[in-house]
Amino acid sequence: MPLENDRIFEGRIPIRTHVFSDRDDIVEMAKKYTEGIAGPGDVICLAESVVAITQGRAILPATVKPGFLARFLSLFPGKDGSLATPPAMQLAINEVGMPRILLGCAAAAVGKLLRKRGWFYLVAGRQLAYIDDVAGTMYPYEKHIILGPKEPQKVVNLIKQATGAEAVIADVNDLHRVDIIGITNPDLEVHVVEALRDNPFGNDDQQTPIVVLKRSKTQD
Amino acid sequence: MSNGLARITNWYCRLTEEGGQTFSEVVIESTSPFPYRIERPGPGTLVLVAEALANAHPDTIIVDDGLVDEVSLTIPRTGEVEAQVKLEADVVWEHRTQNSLPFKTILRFERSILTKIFSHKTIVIDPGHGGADFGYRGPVSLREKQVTLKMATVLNEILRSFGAETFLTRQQDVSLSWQERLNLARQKKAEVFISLHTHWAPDAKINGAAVFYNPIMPQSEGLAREILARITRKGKVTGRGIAPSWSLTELGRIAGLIIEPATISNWVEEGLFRSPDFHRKIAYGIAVGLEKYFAQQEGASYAS
Ligand SMILES: [Zn+2]
Repeated sequence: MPLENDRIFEGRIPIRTHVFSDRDDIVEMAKKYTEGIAGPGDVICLAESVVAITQGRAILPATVKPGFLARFLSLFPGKDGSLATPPAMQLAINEVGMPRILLGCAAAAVGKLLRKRGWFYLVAGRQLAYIDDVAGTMYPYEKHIILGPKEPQKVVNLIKQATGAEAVIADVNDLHRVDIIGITNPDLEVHVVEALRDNPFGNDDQQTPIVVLKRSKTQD
Repeated sequence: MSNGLARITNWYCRLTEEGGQTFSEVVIESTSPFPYRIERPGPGTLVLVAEALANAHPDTIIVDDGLVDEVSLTIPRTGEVEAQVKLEADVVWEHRTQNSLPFKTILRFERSILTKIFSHKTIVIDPGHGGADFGYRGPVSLREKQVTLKMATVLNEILRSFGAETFLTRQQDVSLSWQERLNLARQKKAEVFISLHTHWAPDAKINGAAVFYNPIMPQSEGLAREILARITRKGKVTGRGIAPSWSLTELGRIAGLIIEPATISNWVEEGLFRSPDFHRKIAYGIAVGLEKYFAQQEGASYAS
């Protein structure tokens, strides 16, 4: 698809993959699926959830035993829709520890009074915003809770080493909000955000967790 | 880019509209144009053989859009890729390409056969509960009355695109009696009445879909079975079975169904009920089930 507003990329190529699991190596997969397509200057974009899945961070809620605090805190809405179930909240507590979760909740309460959103994640940890609660992800992981990817910057650096192309790990939500979680060349961030805004990673019928942004040949 | 063969990167099926007609399109995306030929090995099957490499993972997409059943990609040997399209019926088709990046090779199938099946068919869709009647509540506080309205809205759009005449018992958060809901179906002389609900069970482990039918309308049972099969396949939920419901007998000769696509008290399925993707899949499952039913009815009346 041609990108209207900015010509730094001449095309955006989503690649249909198999369903990733923790037996896949994400760097190897990025290399295999973009072979002959992505070269120096191009950008390989990965959906954050599949990076996390290959790292074994898809968790079946039945295997999590939510404690009292997780049950209690998950009753409060306004955390942007995620962490709504007790097991997801329990996993958040496991990730950053109970004190930071409680501080985050306190910050969220103050934020609410001041009509500021997002203070929970600001204090409790940005990575918690990348926890996809049940049904937030594609088949066959819609029954799982998916934690955010581990060491995203290291992963994108390894992909660049393996392919020669730039690499990005991004989270795109239904409201067209794009978060760049890891990027090899930060100068490209604004362009990548624009190119991913309408979520080319698609839903589960369009299973394309890898997207290559082709750099225009006419420029630089 | 690469000096060799084109690389196929993605493929999918979509619905499009042009000049008041609707089409199912199988789109194959690639890095550049590739030579291809089209074969027809048998009725309802069409194969596009491409001289290209596949970066896309070869597998099968279950489309089930009422016309295209599924599309499979295979690699018979290096440098050759086959896209096989399985259709519910042999229809008028054409192929075209679109010069963009990615390059698109498109197989286009005319859907007028569907509009023929659904024309003059009246379907009343009833989003369960509403207003002061909240229906069941999921463990993360999703309300049945909200889910049923969302699913009904999607189902309504899809059935209209198939060419059916549809009526909703409610389009807003208002309360209606069961009697008022059934009355609309009788008033409109509907062929089918579909009431959407969610299952609820005290045991949070219970999950799955069920369909209830009007026992005094004999064909209702087959329709219920067809729809349950479609929604479990498409929505990937387990089937809890079909059963007669005496609350539907007042409909007389109208095929009446109460559909529970999943169980709201199971919080994994409550999560599914929040997903627009799930609503769409369930709606397609119901619509394609209806298509099979109407096609059979016509077949039966031609035969007699
Ligand atoms: Zn109900």
